[in-house]
Amino acid sequence: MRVSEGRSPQLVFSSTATSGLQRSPMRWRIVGRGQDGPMPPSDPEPRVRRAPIPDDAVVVVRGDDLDPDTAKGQAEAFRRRFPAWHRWGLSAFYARSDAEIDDLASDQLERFAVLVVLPIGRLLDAGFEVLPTFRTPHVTIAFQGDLTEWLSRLENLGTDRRPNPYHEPEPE
Amino acid sequence: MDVEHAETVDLVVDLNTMDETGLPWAFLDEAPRPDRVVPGAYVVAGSGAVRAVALLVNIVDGIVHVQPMRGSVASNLQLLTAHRIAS
Repeated sequence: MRVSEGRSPQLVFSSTATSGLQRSPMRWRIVGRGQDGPMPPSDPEPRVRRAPIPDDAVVVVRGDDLDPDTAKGQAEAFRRRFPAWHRWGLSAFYARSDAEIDDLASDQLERFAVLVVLPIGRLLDAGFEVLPTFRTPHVTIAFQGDLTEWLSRLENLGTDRRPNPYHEPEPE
Repeated sequence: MDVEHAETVDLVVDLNTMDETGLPWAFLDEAPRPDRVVPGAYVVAGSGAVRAVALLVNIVDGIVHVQPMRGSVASNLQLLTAHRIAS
């Protein structure tokens, strides 16, 4: 077990449980439960990776069309897909540097004209969970409660909006 | 280009997503035209204003997995045309 205080999360490892991390006022606690193998698509919970998000991952990046209704539909689809998790969720990818943001922009997020870069610390401070789900560097921004209120909170945090230089726009 | 392809989607997919397969996923029952959602076919996928041509990889328990193609819909139009002529 490794513990750190302050802004950095307290990271808890277990030989049996997958370490989804959720921030309480002063520390983290384990959420989710152990998963030892691939889950079929119909599984009611997403797979949380054993390896936590690296300490030096400072931001998560999402492709976005900046329409709140789009994010609302995506969060609803996530909840429908993983109903036993009882959370809304939005997909994103963590990055440790501008170079990694650039890599994401040219690969997984190439289809998006605009990327929103969200500092992980600000997400956690605002009450969101940021969980390492499925394959690195994918994460899920998770939250519970009133969907509209949480999406408004997220929109206010997502002020770092960057055009994706690798995106190929449709011709006029 | 075919304007219809740029403005409509065959499959509503958040292209940020992945699941255990590592691929973006969608619900088959949310496809406007489920008859077009056949593994091996190319469709227009996306959500909101985002669009991409994507290969339909498989359908498992009502979940459709897609592999998005690089580039615009217009630049991948030949992939759509081949499928839609066949269907």
